[in-house]
Amino acid sequence: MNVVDATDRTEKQDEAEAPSLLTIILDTNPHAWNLLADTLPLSKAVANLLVFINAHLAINHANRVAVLASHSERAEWLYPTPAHSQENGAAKGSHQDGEDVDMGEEGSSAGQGGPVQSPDDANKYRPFAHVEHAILTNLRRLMSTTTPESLSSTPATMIAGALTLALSYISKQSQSQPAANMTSQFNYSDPTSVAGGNELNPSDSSKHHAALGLSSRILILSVSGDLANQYIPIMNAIFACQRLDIPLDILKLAGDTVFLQQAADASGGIYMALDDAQARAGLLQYLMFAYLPDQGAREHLIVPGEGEGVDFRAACFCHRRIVDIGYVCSICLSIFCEPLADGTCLTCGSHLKLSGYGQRPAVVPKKKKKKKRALEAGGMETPGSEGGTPAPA
Amino acid sequence: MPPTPTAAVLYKKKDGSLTISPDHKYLFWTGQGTSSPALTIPVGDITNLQQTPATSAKVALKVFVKEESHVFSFTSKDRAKKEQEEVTDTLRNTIAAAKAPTAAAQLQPATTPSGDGGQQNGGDAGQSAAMAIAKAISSKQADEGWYDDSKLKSDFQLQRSLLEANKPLQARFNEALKDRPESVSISQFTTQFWSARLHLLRAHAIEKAQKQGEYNVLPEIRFTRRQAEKEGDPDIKQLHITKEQIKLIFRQYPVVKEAYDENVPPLDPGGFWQRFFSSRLLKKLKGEKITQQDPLDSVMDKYLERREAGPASIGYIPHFIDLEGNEQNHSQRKGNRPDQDMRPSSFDKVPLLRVLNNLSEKMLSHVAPEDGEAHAPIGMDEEAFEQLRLRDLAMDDQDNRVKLSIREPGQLGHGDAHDDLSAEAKLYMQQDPDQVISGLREGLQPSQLGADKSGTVRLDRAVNYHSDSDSGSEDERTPKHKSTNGKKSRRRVAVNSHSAIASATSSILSSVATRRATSSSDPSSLNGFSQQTFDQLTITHNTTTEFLHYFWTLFLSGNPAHVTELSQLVSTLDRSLDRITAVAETAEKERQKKIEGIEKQYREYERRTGKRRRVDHDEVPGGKRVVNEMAAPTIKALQMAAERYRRELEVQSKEAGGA
Repeated sequence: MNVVDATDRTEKQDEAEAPSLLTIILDTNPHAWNLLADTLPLSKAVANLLVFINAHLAINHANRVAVLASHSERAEWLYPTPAHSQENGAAKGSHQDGEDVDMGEEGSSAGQGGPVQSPDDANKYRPFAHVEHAILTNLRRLMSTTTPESLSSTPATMIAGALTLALSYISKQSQSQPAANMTSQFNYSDPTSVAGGNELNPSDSSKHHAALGLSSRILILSVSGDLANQYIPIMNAIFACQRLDIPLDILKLAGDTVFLQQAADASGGIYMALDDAQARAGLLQYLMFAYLPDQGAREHLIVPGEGEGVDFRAACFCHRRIVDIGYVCSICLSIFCEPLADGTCLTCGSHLKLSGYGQRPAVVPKKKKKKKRALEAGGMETPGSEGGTPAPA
Repeated sequence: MPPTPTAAVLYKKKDGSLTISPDHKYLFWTGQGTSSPALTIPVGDITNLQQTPATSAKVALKVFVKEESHVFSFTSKDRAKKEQEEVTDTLRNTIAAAKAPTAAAQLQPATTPSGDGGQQNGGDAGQSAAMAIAKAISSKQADEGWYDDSKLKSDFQLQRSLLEANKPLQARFNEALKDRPESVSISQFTTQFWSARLHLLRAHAIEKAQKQGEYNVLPEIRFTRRQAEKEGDPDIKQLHITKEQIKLIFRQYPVVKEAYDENVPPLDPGGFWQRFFSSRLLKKLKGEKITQQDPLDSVMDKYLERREAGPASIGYIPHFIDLEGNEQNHSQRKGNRPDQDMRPSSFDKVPLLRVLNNLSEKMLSHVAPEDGEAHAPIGMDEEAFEQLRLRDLAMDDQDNRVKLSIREPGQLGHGDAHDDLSAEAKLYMQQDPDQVISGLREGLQPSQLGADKSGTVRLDRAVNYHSDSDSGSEDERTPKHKSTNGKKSRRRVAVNSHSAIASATSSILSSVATRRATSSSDPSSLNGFSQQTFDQLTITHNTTTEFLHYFWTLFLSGNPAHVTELSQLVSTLDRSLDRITAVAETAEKERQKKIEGIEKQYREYERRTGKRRRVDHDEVPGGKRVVNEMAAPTIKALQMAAERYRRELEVQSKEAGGA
């Protein structure tokens, strides 16, 4: 009877795997890829990445993918192709949907760049061909529009911008998902969801994913370091990910990326560093083995990655140095690498005083009257450890 | 309202009178012949009071207001002593009432050095020195003493009680105290120890300040039924009431007290309670329905109809929450009637709700109000009015926020980003941007991506992974690949060659294994040590951490007064290293013993069966190696501290020698 009146249909829907959105941020810093040219050229990396994307799309027909390039001076979409850049790039603007790759464009770009077949190849699964074509075309356009001048201006890459784009895309996608309404919103009037809390929904995670409808994750393929300049925006993006329950997976091919390791640790993602040529050559295996499972699967797996020894150091706000011991403003929590000269916080202008700390240690008993240093503050009393906290004066 | 005492006094060698204002807020001294007070002291500002001992001939009162003090000699011939007591008592009570009830009255007899008060008093300095502290009164801020760090740090009683409550902390404290360097005095040590644990002290202080409030007694008292001794007899009902419970009953139910007072001489107390607990009065007080079956009681039933008076101690109720007042002032009979249980009178309608409401009202009234002065004038004063005002609707609420002005973080940068660049960034500088770009552009051409003649990107070829190929044969299958730089570079490891894939697999699997080991390891496992050794290691670690903490605080304070202390502390740190080594030795001995035991077992086994078994030494857990592994971070921290100290010592000794 049940089958006849179709009462078991809802059950079946519940059992279906939740679709997942994989957002990949590809660090396209040309300098860095040039250094890697001998072991893993960009073209190879992209090809491997395409295989990985295809695998992701093949697992679940509802799975989605988005690819961003974090270039040296800007962050750009590779897939889906944003509407405006298509219009700029292609002479014909006959398409309406930004997510749809325009067929007409193929001719023009193929004309410039060689015999790239339109995605209508019978030998290829169409969605794969779509993604592949869009990514390659956009990547080529990105490289062709990069000027040598812009390259020499900065050694870094726009990870923070790319992360922000990725987060806004994820937010848009999960809101358009029908099951995602209501539950994924942060409820400000709910006293249990503390503003400082890390989780958007305090419910248990297994239910959470089902309720969210779309489980998203971000994979950063990083090749360059020197992110200290973007410390604050990166940290903000990391905290957003942490709260939205979006794991940040990091696959580091080169460069010193302190903050990205923290990002993976804070958001529950996987961090792996492929430091030598041998490891880089196995890129595809790393991608497939470690990064393919989505959140739902990871709950049942012991995930790989370097879980211990996370470098938790922060960058100071004044010189963008990565500091071992920093000084934090007790008002606005800005981090400084050295005690402030005039006791005024550079960010918020609060007057701070720092007592009993940071002075040059005195280890030799003074014989002469060399009392130049202002040590009277401490007096004879044993300095308490709380003296290290700068208090607003 | 308490009387306002007036006394004839001598102040600064002038006759006058000392009065306390009717609201007990000010102390006035009025000179003889004048009408307006020459000296006004707000009672709230008084920090201390001293009076002459009862035996002394002269009667004087010394009032401390912050740094100043005023001495009043009482001059009345026969009433001097009495007047002085009156004034002192009034002041003392007012001040005590103003303070929180938690501030325990500490009567500490102490002698004070003769101050300026002595001279003012006409030279009898000796007497003023003999004044005893009437009462230790701290300033009003001290009410928040629980939050004051220095007070917490110096409150030894509190610390002791916390240590008693928290055994692990006590063990840690004692251990560290025992091993502390000679030069560190106990008080220095405790200050240091507690300064890192102020939050614990504060929590403990607050916890201790909590008092349990009243509870509803009647439901707590129940008959306990005991099996009858003989069959057929009714079960014996027993009732246990404690003295405290009786007291509470009297407090909460004045009717019972009345009944008790009136009836106990004829009845004996036991009989009274027996009757009470089976009476209709009890049922009424509990809010239960009285039925026909309930036995009548000639004594108790008299009190059934007694109207409940409201709580005695609520003297004044603001009009807008006074239900009875509302009834009288604004009759709501024409409009909506208030909710059933919000109306006064008519007990019989919802007895239970009414009883509960009444009871909670009473219990609340017995609790001393935290937010108001118990002795404040009755009626609405300025402060209460301020509190009760509907501030949301007020137009100009004072803005008491602290303005935080944030500067653009970009402007903070002190320029030169270049000196902090990584090694890679320096390599980037050496590259020619033109070449870099063109190389990448070329690399992204379809032919480089493995497109075949028809233009389809053949990912299988681009990826270059063939499950059936061995690592040697891949090169010929690779589409001709020129290195992007134009150089013909010979790659040692081809991308996705079998060896690369295999090593990737093994590295992922090993990291999974590590993760698994850390996530599943039993936290209660002792790493192969005996419980004793493990505890010893834990304690050693704890004390070492304590000393390291102390060391860094002193070292970084830069205070030359601590130089000797510091050097002793360093030797203590060295000894900590020895202690860790000692634990390691113990652990090693333990392990050897275990190995011997196993060997013995195996020999036995060999003797019986003739088969030999080898002892695998690596299989036996514990020992020196594991201790060193576990203590490695601690050892490193110790070495780091010692090294920093020696380096600084060297530099400064040189400086001292050179200067």
